[in-house]
Amino acid sequence: MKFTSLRVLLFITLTAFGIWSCGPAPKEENNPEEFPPSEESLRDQIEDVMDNLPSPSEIPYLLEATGAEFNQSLVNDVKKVDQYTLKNDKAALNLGIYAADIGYLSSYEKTQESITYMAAVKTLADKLGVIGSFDMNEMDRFESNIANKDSLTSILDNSVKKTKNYLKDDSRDKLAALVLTGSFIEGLYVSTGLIKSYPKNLLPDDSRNLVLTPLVRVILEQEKSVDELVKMLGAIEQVDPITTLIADLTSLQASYRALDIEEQIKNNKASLVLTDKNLVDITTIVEKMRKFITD
Amino acid sequence: MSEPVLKAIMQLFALVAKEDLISSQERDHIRRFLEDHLSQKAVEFQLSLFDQFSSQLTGNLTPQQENDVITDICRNINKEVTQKQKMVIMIELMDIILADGSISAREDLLANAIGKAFNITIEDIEVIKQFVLGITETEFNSDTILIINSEAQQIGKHKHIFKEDLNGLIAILYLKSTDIYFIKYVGHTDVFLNGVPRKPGNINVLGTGSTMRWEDVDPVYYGDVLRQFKKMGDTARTSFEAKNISYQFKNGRLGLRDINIFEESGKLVALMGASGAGKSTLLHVLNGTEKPSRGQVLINGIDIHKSPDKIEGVIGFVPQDDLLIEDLTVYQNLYFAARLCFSHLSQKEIDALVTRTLEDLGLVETKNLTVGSPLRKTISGGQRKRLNIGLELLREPAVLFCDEPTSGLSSRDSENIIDLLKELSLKGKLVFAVIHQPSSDIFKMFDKLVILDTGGFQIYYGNPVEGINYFKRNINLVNSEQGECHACGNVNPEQIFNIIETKIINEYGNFTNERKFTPEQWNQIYIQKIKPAAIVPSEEIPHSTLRIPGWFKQTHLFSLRDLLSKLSNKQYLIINLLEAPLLAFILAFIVRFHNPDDQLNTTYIFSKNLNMPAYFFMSVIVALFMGLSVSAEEIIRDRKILKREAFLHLSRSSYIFSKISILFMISLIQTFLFVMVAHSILKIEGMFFIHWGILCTASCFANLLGLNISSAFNSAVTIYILIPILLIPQLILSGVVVKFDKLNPVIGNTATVPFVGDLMASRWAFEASMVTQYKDNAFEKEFYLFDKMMSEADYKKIYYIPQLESKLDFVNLHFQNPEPDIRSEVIKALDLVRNEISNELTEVGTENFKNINDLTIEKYDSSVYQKTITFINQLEKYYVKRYNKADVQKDKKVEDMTSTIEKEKEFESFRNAYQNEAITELVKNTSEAHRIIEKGGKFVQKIYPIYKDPDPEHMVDFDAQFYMPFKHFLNRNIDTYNFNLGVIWFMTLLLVITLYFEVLRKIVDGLGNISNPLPKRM
Repeated sequence: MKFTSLRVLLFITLTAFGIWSCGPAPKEENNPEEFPPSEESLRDQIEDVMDNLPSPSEIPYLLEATGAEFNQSLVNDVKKVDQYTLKNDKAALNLGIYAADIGYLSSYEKTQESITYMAAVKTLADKLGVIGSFDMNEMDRFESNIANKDSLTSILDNSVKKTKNYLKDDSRDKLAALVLTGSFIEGLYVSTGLIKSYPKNLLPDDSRNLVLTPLVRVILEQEKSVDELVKMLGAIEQVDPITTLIADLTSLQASYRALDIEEQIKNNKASLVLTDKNLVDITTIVEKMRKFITD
Repeated sequence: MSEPVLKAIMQLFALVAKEDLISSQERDHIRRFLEDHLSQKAVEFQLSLFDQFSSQLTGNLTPQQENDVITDICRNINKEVTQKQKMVIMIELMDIILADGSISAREDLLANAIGKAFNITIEDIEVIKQFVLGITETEFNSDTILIINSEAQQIGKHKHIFKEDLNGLIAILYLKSTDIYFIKYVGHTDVFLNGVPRKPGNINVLGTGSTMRWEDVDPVYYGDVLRQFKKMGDTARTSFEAKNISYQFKNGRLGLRDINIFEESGKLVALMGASGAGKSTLLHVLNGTEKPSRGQVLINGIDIHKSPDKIEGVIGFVPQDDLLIEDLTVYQNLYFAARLCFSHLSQKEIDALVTRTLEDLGLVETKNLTVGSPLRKTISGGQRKRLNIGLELLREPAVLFCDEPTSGLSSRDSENIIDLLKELSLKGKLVFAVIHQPSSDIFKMFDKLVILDTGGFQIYYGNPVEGINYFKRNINLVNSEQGECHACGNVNPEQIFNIIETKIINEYGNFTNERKFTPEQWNQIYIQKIKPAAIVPSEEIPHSTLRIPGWFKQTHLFSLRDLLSKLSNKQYLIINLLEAPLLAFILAFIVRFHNPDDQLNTTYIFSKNLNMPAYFFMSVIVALFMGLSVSAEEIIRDRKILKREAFLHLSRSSYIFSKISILFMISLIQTFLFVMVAHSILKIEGMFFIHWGILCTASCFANLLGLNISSAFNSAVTIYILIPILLIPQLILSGVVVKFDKLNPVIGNTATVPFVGDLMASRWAFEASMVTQYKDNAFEKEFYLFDKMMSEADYKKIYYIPQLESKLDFVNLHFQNPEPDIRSEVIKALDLVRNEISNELTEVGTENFKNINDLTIEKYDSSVYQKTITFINQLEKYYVKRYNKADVQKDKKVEDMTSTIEKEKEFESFRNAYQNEAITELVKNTSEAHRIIEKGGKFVQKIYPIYKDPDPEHMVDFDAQFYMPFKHFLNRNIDTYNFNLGVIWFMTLLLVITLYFEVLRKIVDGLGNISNPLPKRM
């Protein structure tokens, strides 16, 4: 046996292996944080505001209670979720949008869609690095309670709340606020959308108003929430898209103010206010905001 | 002989005889010639013809007329009669001419004229004259004549053999031009040629294998005569002695008992014996492959078993099986054999040598035919055998062994082959051949015969024809002195075995199964009656023709040979080239998933293909499969050739190296085609070379695996059964089909890849594919560091710190509990907390927590708890900040990249082209429910392996979780791609070593040698 030749072979292979394994060593990123970290002042007022806002299922629930019919075209297309995973702001806003959609869908027991939308929400939650609110466990819970509308809404609200708290705890108030904003706007959008799309000639005005009045009431009742929202967004760093949102919300506030609902009710002119004709401005602004968020 | 020829011959006889008056002597002569060739009735008819011709020739012819007549007659004869036969006719004619004891001038002229017409040279005519006329020794004076007499002294130019007790002399004439021998005896002793008494004065052809004997003197054999005339090759004399050879099989049975053989160059020796008598064993002991348990084999005094290096290249061996490379042509087979034996010859010389050998073998016409397998023949069985011998003939070894060179061949082919061997022996080589049922002609060509009987007893050693007489004598058969049939000259070697194995007849006259003479008895008789003559060992250094080329040259030749043989096999080539792209197409086409209902993404998008992990996994399996199947038969196919090459002391490592390099080349091409097709179908961007590297590595590993099993097992079927056994663990333990942390706990722990997993090339290759695809794709590269930072912080704040807190709470609750069970739990928990916190301190700085050493059961109290909790809370904030910082930075980067709508679109398609969702989910392990586990006194992070840094326990600790981006080895972190490929290459190298040392084969053989558990009766 020719050991020398084997040794040559061994040598060549080892050298080759050696050269090759000495590839570029991984560069280690190092940007040490100061320790202990400086305390950040908790903005308690934000927390209060956040808690005052309606949960994602609140408005849809009210809508369902009015006996309005389900309108599939109002919910945001679930397939657009990929577009939202690029940026945190977008992801947070649309997480809210989808959460409200789930509320709407599950109120009307659209179970398959609810699950699909849950998956979309999970994608966005993962993008935000929010863990524990829309993870596998929650998904499983959601699916196993699919027949029970009330459980679903509570799970959904709970998850969104967890998301909000999580972000807030991590000093990511902005994202938490955006989630809530998205959810609220979507609720409003669905409500206004229902009214807007309600057929004009199907029923005589009287009976039509009879159907729409409860819906209009739901919308008009959100005036306070809009104020809270403006307050909340005002408390965080004023950068885009916060500034845009505040601007729009402010004009929304103005539209509400113009209706002067409380005054009208006080004067017993409620029936005058509670017609869809009065909602044109609000509807327009909500549509604009929703478009801004989802496109 | 046809009628017209005979007629022509009669005319010639008449013409010659008529020169002087036809004497009765002449007529007798012609009668005898005719009697030798024809039946009695025909003889009378021909004689009458002769008389008729001679009477017609009464008129005197002028020499010119005579010449014309001769030319005319001879033309008829030339058409149908061989030169040999013409020579016989010439001798007869000469005998007739010289019947009166003299030659006239006219007769001389006539003889010359006939000779010329027959194309016989003047020299031959002269020597024939001398031979026919001569009576006393002095009358012969030519070196083509051999005289045997009892005169010790030699007079004249002729050759001479001295033998006692011979009255007169035996003259043997050798005519070189036609290679024919004539014998003539003059004297009064009863000389027997092949057991038939010779009539003094008669001239006869001396047939092959003839024996001449008289009185009690040692007979003169044909071979003895031959050696006088045939010029031995220039090679030096070689002596071959096998002294008292015994051989014991591994199971203790004796295979050979006390065999003695003494030979020297120039002999053709036959080994015969019943099947199972040990012929092949003897051959293997004699050629040096097997070591005798007793006795020694000496060539020129050198023990071939003790100093094999000194006789390197001296011995040649032609085994029974074919040694041919089936996909090469006849010429190429010889060419490569020659190149591997003679490094000193130039291309031209090699070509000349091969061409000459082809001529010798009679294979010139088949030169460019592919050899083909025994089933798909392109050349005949006889040609195969000849080519086989040709491989050895090329280098003309001094001692050649052939194991059954004639088995399965027609008698004509057998004769050709023995002729070849005979010629070789006449060139001065010593040739041993095992033969079975030789024909009479073949049997007579051998110089010596060794017969073995069952159990390895030597029962005969001597002249072959004589052997028949020997056995006949021993059972007192009539006519025992006649070896051959005196009428036809044939011998019947079968007789020997009939005698040896004669069965006892029982009282009913039926044969029983018992032999009349046992092998031992025959052996006793042999020992008593035959004493093999010892020979003087030659002093010379055995001559070796072998000049083996150097390692690189050998490797080159082996590779070239292999390459040519592969290229010539069209089927193999096409299948091998098409296999990879076809599989790639099938695989890629099937996994090319997109959701047709998706309105936004109507076409296929890489990012959305859920099957990418499956594709990576399958591609690794395909690479392994292709690599294994292409190599699994490589060595087993060459096994016989390898045996021969080992015999020539060719380098095994260069053979292996050439095999490996060719297979690697195939793997390189196959995987290239595979990746090319699959990646273009699946639109995998920027991974071509990376994935090619991985698959090629896997395939090369499988090549070596295949070569190992191919060298270890005996049949192709076994190997094909083994392929699933090798591949299925690769499938299961690749980390895809079954997750490594979900294995049977006996084989795996939950923290890292288990050892059995580490043994699987598939696991390394698949992990490398996944990790590099995720980590090194153009998109993720932009964000990897942010993601890494975020995921680390995320893990810490979500899983790690809460776990730490609950541990600490547990300690705080129970640290005063005296119960031993709980106490030990508390100690364990404290150890863990202390360990983990000190690890954290190396990150944030030890000065931030001074109480680390108080975290022991002795020092622990509620104040320590408070301080620790404070620290942990700070730590959490630290990670939160860290996370947010990275998050903001990343978001900013994305913001920059998506500042306009066009840029955003671009960004999105950038991500879609590079980042696959299914891969991302797997490497992040987000579907795992247990994201942190406690193992061996520490917390183990199970989530985000793709961002995890190695956490080594010692210098060579490379244990890691699946999908980690770096592996630790020798105190440095090596990129998973490099590391994993390195591991596979390392395993490949190990397999190269096991292949070289045939480790697997030795293990398999070792297992086979463990005593058979089945009872012997079965």
